Amino acid sequence: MENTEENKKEKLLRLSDLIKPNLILLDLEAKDREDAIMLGCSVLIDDGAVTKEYCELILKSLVENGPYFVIAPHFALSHAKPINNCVKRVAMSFLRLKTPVIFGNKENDPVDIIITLATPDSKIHINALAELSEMLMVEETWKVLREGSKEEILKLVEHFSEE
Amino acid sequence: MENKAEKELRILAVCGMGLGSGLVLKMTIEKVLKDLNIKARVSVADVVSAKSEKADLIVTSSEFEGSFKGSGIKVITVKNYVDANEMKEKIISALEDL
Repeated sequence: MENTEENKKEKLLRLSDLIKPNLILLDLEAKDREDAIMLGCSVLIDDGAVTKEYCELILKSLVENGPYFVIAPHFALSHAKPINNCVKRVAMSFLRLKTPVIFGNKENDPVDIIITLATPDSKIHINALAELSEMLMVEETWKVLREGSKEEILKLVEHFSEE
Repeated sequence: MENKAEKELRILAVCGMGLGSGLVLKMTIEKVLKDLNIKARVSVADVVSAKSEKADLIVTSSEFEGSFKGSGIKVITVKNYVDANEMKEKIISALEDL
């Protein structure tokens, strides 16, 4: 018990610890995929979770690795591997676009929902991401994400976050 | 299928960084395996380190399929990482071939 810092670290982060009300952006317009990625990432800069360099890393990964992070129909899990301490803490934003944009992933284009994930290491986000996966595996989830209000989305997130 | 119970099946979920999408993939694979009552060890790897890992089956997206050409390992590609039905169909058919 003496090492409180260590205890804090071991506490599992829930999905609702990451997707906070101020990180949910609904029905915005984006010109193209770069614009969409920057929209989803900028809110994490404003929140103090990442620096601009992280957003640029995502764009770079998109060019180098292709749009592989479009992992479900019309859905992108935008993220990159951080360098130079550009991710200050684990965070996740939710962006819903008014008009879907083309990412270049022909199986799942066009994209209208973008979750941007930032994690400073390869472990701390695992529990929250597992909860996100559980949530996305449920078909009804997509209706709420596409048509729901911020309150309804937060309620859904809370439902899939462990007590 | 008789020998499958004796030797643990190793499945590798492969994505670009081994940080995000691969983990989502792992969750869906594990859910499907549980439904099918199949025991396996599922791990996550990025596309570069995956090449030096041992596995019976690789699950990834079509972008990375080419990286495993000639590896001799069975590769399945999924379109929707969170669609348990798609995953179930593909895993069943891959296991029949193993």
